[in-house]
Amino acid sequence: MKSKEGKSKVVGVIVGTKGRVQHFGVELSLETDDDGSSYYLARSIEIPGCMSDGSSIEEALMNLGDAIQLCLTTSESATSKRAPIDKGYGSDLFVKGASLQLFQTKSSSSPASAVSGPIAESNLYPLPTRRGALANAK
Amino acid sequence: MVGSAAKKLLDQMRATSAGWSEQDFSRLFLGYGFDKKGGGGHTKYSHPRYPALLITVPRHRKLKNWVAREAVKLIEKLEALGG
Repeated sequence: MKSKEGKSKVVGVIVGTKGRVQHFGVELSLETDDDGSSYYLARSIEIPGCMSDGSSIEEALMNLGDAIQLCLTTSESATSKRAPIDKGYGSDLFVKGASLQLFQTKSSSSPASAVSGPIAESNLYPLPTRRGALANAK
Repeated sequence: MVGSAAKKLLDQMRATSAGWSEQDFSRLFLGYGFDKKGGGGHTKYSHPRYPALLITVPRHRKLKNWVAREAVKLIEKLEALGG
């Protein structure tokens, strides 16, 4: 999967937390810093400000999944007193990389409408720091 | 009340987005009244009065320039809201 610098594409990640699975749209772009290093910047469409980066698309998506989980758990703890975390995959996090369909510039309107369709099972990436997500999710 | 140290840090980040550390962002956001929550490989800063004003800062590697750029934008939004 390649992305041209200066453009962004919309992909999807699936994040499982506390027994629920949610689909999030992601705006992904290739950036270059002043020192010449390139990386992928991934932004959640549904949670503005929730973003992360990675040296590859897969790493950026996994890191964003971690950031989304943090946003979800901290916003829930602020509004709900329900504390117990479900066992099994519900306490884990996994990210599905999407089959990318669209390329568009950041100035394009309504990126959320461009979230691609079904996600291939072969694109399931367990987070390295959390074990058992893949096995329990099946 | 925003401290002068946080304002100075913001001005410096406006001037250059490179070379900032996790501790710098912590000082900046806490100085502007944001809440700090950690978990996994990121730290989340969100404003108690405007929860939609938030940013996640990675803490697992050298920080890229986008963090400072987004931090400046976020605080400019807060200032526009009168925070």
